[in-house]
Amino acid sequence: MLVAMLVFGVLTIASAIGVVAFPKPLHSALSLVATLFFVAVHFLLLGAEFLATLQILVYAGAIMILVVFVIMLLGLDVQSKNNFSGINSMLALLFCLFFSVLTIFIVTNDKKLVAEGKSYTAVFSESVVQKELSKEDATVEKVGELLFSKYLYPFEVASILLLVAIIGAVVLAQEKKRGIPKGHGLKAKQQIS
Amino acid sequence: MVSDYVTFYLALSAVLFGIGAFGVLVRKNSIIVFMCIELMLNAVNISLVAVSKGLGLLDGQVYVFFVMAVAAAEAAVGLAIIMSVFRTHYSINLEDVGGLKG
Repeated sequence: MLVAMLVFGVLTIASAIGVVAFPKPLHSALSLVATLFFVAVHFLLLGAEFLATLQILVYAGAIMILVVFVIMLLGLDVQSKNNFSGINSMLALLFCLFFSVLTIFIVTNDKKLVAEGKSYTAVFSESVVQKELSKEDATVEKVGELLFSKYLYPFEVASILLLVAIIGAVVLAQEKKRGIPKGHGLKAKQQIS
Repeated sequence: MVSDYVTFYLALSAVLFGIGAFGVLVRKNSIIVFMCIELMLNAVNISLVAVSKGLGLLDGQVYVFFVMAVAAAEAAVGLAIIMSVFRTHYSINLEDVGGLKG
């Protein structure tokens, strides 16, 4: 189990770097799909199979398909002339490295771990996952019980939020009849000018 | 209270969040910035599930459920906004839509 955690952790980080580094948006989107699948595997390793299923259905399935549709329908799959070498990129890299290293330092120096004498190596020490995931009941029923008893109010608010999002997306995507030509993209721009 | 695998997953979440934050700050394509935001949300999801597992509760998984619902709503509206911006500016490069810049 520890081997699986490490292997999929490395794969997740590699595909996350792929999201940031690819010049074409479509390669970036495919890399994000891979990252979402690996995150679903991490959910499975943590015993959250309901969330793993939801992750693949909603995130990797619906949201990423929406993103790929927008990229392909608007013709946005152009290579960007992105260079990571300006001063802004260096500052951003410094900030993000500082944040990650600081968080990892805080997390691996938990008081209990320091008392046991294994502070910096706690990330790679023996995992207790093996004995805790052996006999688990399905999380679907338990999460459902929680969702409809203790978190009923946020559940209803979330459904209203989704309604508002649907209405907003439909209103935003309408064509305004003000003089924008029928086609879109570069050809239409050349028609106007 | 915090077990070993929780530490590993919190560290993984921190690294993913850092990578996502770097992408949001550096990339100039709106859709790639949006995808890096989704990456950051997933990093937080991992840390929520890991800590809730470490505490022996299921509340973290319910939180992740709501984060996913909000992310789906945000994806729909955000992509509609990107489409509207593309319709008027014919570009989704963040340097080209700086009309509000002082």
